[in-house]
Amino acid sequence: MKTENFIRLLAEDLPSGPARQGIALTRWMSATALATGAAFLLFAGARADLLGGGLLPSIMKVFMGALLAWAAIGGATSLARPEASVVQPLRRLVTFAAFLAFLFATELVFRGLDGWLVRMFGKSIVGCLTVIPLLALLPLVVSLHALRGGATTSPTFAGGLAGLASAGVAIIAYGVFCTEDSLVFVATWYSLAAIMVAGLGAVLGRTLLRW
Amino acid sequence: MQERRFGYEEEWGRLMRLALDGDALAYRTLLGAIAPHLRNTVRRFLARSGRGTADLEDIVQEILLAVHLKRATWDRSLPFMPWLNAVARYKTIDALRRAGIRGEVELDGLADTLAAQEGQEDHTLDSKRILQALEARQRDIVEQIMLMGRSAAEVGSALGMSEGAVRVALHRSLKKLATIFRTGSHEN
Repeated sequence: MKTENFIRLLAEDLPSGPARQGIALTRWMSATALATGAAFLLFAGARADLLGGGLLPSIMKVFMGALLAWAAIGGATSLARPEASVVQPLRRLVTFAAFLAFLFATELVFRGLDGWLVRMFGKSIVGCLTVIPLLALLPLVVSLHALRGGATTSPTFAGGLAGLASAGVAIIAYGVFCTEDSLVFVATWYSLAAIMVAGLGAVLGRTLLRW
Repeated sequence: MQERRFGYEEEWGRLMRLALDGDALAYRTLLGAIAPHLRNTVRRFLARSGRGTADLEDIVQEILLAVHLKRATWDRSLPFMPWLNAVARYKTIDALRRAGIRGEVELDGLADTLAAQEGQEDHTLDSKRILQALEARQRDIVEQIMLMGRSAAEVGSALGMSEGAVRVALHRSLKKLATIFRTGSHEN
């Protein structure tokens, strides 16, 4: 096939292009977050003491979920360009992890070291580790689909970021329901759940995000 | 791959902007202009990797197709060349990786020779192979545009289809072509 003839083919297909640059990941994930949150709350309901003692912990969890989603969505969006570097997204994640470690340390300082392991193991590890990944599935499908419209040259990492973003969305929904308030618990097990979803996203991204 | 600074970099960005806004002539000019640059880039890459140049033109065409299908991923506020070179690098590495998997492994002299010959067979995506993978209708459309230089409207008239239907079929053919490039002729 002669290249100059092939170019004719490409040029004739010019009008088929999408109008705008960008994968609109923020928009997609915001919509998915609303849908996931509403559906989960209808199904499971918010915690009983939401307007009482549970308000502050819930706000904190929702905030952390949103922060994780924001950091990961920003990273994934930038990686949708082929020339983008993984450095900036990595830096954002490291900053987030540092903040998380800070929260973990804060609780140890304020509530003391007595029984911190008991606080860490809490009551609902299994619940936490199953519900968060389950809630993250729809956002993961949505974000991977959006990323396929891009052209990432780091498919595994981009998939992992999609996973983290999805976990963030799941945590926003789950945070209003979960009654475990120890920061030590949240930082440990929510993180593990997020890492699981990130791993799934990375594995899927490796094949799905090729172009 | 090195990025040299020549005057044409800004010109190509300008042409791509026009193309993204619908200027077909600018687009044709751009694709024709970047092809030699891509050829040189791929040739250097192949040489550095110690590979022969049997697949050179296939890889160039694969890159041009990727540039076309993923053109919306270029952020106009950013320079054009890093984007172009990233696409070229990605597709070249992909092509080399596939060639490696298909048996161009360093075993002994004979194996190398066989692999080289096999490689030539497998990788030369000649028109016949490509067209074979398309449906009859898609094949007609692609042939008329590529070989006769007809427009979508003209092809529509010739085949009794609307221009819109021709365009849809053309776009599908190109996406199918990208899959054929990516998975090789074995997928036929």
